Amino acid sequence: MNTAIVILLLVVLLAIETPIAFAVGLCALAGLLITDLGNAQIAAQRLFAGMNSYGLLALPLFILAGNLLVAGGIIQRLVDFADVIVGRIRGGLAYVNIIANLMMAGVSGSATADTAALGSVMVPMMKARRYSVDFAAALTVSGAIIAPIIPPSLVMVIYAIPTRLSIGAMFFAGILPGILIALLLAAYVAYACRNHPLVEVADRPKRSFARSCLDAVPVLIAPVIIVGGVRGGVFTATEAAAVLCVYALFLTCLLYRSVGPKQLFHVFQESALTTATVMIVVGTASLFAWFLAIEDIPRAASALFLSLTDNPFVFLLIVNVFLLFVGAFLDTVPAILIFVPILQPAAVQFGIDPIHFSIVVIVNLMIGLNTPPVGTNLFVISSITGRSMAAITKALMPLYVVKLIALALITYIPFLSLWLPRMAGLMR
Amino acid sequence: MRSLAAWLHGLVDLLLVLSLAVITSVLALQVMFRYFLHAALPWPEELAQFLLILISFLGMYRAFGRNQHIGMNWMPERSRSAHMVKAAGLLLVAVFLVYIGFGGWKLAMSAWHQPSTALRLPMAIPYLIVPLSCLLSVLAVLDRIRRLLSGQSGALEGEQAR
Repeated sequence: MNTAIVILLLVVLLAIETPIAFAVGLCALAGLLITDLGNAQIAAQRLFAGMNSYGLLALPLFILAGNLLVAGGIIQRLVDFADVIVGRIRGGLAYVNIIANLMMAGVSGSATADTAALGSVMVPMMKARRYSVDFAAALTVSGAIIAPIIPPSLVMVIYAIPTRLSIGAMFFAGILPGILIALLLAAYVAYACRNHPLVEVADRPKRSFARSCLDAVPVLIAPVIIVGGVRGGVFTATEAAAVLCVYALFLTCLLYRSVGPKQLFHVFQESALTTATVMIVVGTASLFAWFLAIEDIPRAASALFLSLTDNPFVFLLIVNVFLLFVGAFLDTVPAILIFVPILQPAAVQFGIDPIHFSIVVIVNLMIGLNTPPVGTNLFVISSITGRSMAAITKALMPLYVVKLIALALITYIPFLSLWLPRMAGLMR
Repeated sequence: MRSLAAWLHGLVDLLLVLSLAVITSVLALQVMFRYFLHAALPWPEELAQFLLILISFLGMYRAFGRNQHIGMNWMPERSRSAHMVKAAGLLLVAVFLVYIGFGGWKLAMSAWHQPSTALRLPMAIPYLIVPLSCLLSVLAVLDRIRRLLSGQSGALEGEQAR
């Protein structure tokens, strides 16, 4: 009963555009006060404790590294590199979009940041080569969901907080599913662009094949540093993020010399602010999760699922449908911190590996980022391209099918998620 | 008044940038110490965690002024009733901030003799970030409410386009 009141309050607060962090925090407070379980001091301490975590340090660092590299102009380098490889074939620039997204995913952990960065480069290019703007926008947001699935990943850093899973194991688990999504998107491009005219590339000065490849190499080394370092036990995921920042500083300030002191200050400032807006959600959502735990909701949910079915396949289907619905309305961070503590114990009872389950949840919520009414990345690409959400959503329709096929494969073939972390010795 | 606010924004931004720079440096330093010198330092993790909390709370205050907090965005921009409803939500946010700020103050005052694990710093110092930032944030939220009700919501400093 108490929980029902609190959830109703949450829906109302979100609907009147109260910032998510405070809507969630207010509901947690309301719940704690109704049940007479907390006071101001305990609430403040919980909020502080929810943010005082070593694992969360990876958050500002991965955000900073991504912003530094984007400010340093690596997007153009990656796009040029992909362009000299696949740009000439039919639908070339559409493949370039996917490949650039995949490469960006290896250095950036945020789908929204990638949408903004790649969208502003790829969409005008694709438009110049006679692709429809809606198609270009839809493909960019679809490709950007790979960013948090392939390491590094901000979403995985947050997922590890309530579940205490190994971030390293999750990083490895995401690699094959991320590549699978890229391949399926490429298959769709092959179909959708089968009649696209082959146009001569004339919209910018041509650089030599070798030069373009050479330019991209230092960027492509970055993911190797992260994955190799975590795999070899040289550093933790958090330290990998710090090393990546130092490497990004070296690339942009010394090697490419593309970021000056003033811009550097700006990048640090924006990264700190982005971090803060995510961290506040993390803090209040952990307060909310604490209230749910006191109310014993996770156990009730497990019991409910077990009464509905005893088949893990059916359970996964229910979870997927539920999360697709949630993801269409709620942002990824609160969705993970509120629902994962409820769903994961149930998943374990059904014999599903928690690492595999984490990838299913993340892929699912990433689809939600592209789904109206509340799709953060849709807002971003819509404001970049100046096209309406409705027009882009229409172009996204076939891509939803592609993403749902990917989700089904990732959900029902645990091997895809579990093979690499097992090979790397990061899990049993 | 306006120049005081601008000065405060500049100071907070500088603190945010410096904190992030220190976090990056000490954690990279820690990797070097552990990997090359085989001797990890005891304090970088704790220092970095406290600075992350500083960034989070001070950044919360700045994000109000710049309208950067994550939230839904579907109501009409220029509708008077939408502004009223939004202002009501923000008033509740202010209540939340006052409550947490008050709790944070009590927490800090009870922790002067409780040293932190690695730095042996009184826990009151990191805890004090909470009431301080909540106080600043309440002022920023009240300012936003005032702008919403007087119909000048378009004139926000550094407003981010969605």
